[in-house]
Amino acid sequence: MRRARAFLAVIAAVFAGIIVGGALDPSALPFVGNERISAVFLLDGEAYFGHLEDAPWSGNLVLRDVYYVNDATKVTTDLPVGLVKRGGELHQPVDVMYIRRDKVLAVEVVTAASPIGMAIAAQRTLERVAK
Amino acid sequence: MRPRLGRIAVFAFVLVVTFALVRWWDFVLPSFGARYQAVFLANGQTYFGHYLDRLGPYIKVENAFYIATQPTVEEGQSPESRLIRRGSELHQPLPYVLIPKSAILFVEDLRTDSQVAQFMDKQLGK
Repeated sequence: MRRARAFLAVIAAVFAGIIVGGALDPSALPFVGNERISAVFLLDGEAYFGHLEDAPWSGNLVLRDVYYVNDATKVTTDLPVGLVKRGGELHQPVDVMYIRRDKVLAVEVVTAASPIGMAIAAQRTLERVAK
Repeated sequence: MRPRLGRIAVFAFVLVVTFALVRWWDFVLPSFGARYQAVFLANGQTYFGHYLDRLGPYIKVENAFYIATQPTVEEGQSPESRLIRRGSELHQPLPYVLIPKSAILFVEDLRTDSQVAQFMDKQLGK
C-alpha cells in the first residue's frame, strides 16, 4: 500500500512537472533576471509588445502592459521610435489583450538594449514622472 | 509522519527534475532533414532557418533569415530583394522565432547547394 502511494506520488510529480514546465518559463518571471518583454506579431500586420502569458491549453495569449509602435514624430522622447501604451484609445481598454492564437504570426523576445526596449523604458519613466 | 515527509520530498524532487528536463527539452521533436528549411507563412512571408518541430502550438525557427524587398530608384526596374538575418529590427529579438502552427502554410527543406543555404552558412560562420 505504501509503495503504491509512493509510486502514485512520483507519477503525479512527473505529470505536474510536465504541465508546469510547459506552461511556465522561469526566465519570464518578474523576480528572475531581467524583465522579459515579448513581441507579438499578428496576421493583420500589427505588432504589440508586453508581458506574455501563454498557456498551451488555452486558445488565447494574454499580453499585459502593452505597447505598440506609433509615429515617432508625435512623441516627446528623442528615441527613433514612438511607442504608445495601450489604454489611451477612444474605448479606454484595460492594458490587457487577449489575442487569439490563430491570429498570431510570430512571437519573439525583445532585448532590453533595442530601440523598442529603450522606448518602453523611456515611456515608463515619463508615465512615472507624470503621476 | 516521517513517511509522509518522505513522500513530499520525493514528490518535490521528481517535480523539480521533471520541470528542469522539460525546460531543457523545450518540447522539440528530433529532426533528420536538411540543415535549413524554408517556412512559408499565411501572410505571404517566408522565413529561412533551422526549423524545429515542437509539441504544442508553436514551432521554432532558429537563426532565421527573411527576404526584404526594396523598391529601386529608377522606374521600370524590378525591386531589389535581399536576404536579411532576423535580429537587427527595432526590437532586436533573440535569435529564434516562435511561429504558431496555424500561421504556417508549408515547410520545405533547402538543398545544401542552394544559394540561400550557402549564404546562411556564410553569415553564420559555418
